[in-house]
Amino acid sequence: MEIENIKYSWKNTGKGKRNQTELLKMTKIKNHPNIKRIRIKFIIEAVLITFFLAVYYTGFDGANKPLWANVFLIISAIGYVIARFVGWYVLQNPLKDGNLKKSLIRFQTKLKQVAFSIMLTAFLFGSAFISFFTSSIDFTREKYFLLAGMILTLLFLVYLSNRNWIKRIKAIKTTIKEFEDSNI
Amino acid sequence: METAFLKIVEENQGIIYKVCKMYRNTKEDQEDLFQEIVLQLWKAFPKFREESKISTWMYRIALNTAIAIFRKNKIEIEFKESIPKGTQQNQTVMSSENEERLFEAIRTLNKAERAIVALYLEDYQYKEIAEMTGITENYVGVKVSRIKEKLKNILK
Repeated sequence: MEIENIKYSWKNTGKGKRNQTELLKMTKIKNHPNIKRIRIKFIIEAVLITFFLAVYYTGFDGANKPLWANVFLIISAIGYVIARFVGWYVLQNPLKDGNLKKSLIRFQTKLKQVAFSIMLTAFLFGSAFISFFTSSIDFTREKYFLLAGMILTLLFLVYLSNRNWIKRIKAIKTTIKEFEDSNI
Repeated sequence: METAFLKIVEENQGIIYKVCKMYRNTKEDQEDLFQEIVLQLWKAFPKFREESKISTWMYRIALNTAIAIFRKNKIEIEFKESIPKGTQQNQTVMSSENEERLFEAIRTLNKAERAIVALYLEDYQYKEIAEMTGITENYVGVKVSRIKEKLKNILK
């Protein structure tokens, strides 16, 4: 196929397949299954954590635990929810002013910041959770092993939760490289 | 504002369609991306300044969205360097064979090349392509001639 034929095919592609009613539906978030799914996931997490914070004090003897363990748990839980919310917001708004390359560089920087804050808050929340439940325990050798197991599991879960963010960042980084002059 | 927006998108929806076909392999993914681009255009519309062309504004947002939005749990399909003509029958019935071959060929390019070729096929000047993509005008020229060569080889 010659380049003029390619241009001809290109210009005759995709004309007028959707009417204004269909397009109007697409401007509403409630009609976006993917965005709705991510939002529902975030809301469920936020509701579960809020519920946990509301009942933990009476349900898990918060009064018998040290003050620092209570404060650590509450602050880290709030931090975890905020970081997830910021992450969700950044993902839904990838566009910035400027050219494609600049916009991708800015988006990548934002993603890195979000990924770091999500990883950090997930780690802190997990640590606070473990600290809270182990703060009034008399440790024996077996219990130390159990604690080490819990910490390793926590680290693994933090890694898992961050994996998708790393994949996103890698994909953007690859495209930015493709836009670099040295690769042309 | 809503009426003006819908009219613009309806008249220029070919841009969104083409970007979706370039950056997504399956009909389902293309449909999801189409919706995503319309939503991003709608969000950006209040900031749209009339001094730039509608098509330029739409391309910028559509390409940015297609590249930036991450597809979770999808397998990236590696396309071959040449496209067997016999596989075309399995493609969507709505598109012509030529159109499908063209988009399959474009999908063999990397994401940056796909953006450049779209703007080139739309008859943008090298200077405009450079401004929109963020690479220099000279390199747009180099890149375009390499892409043309690649496409010719794939589509011969």
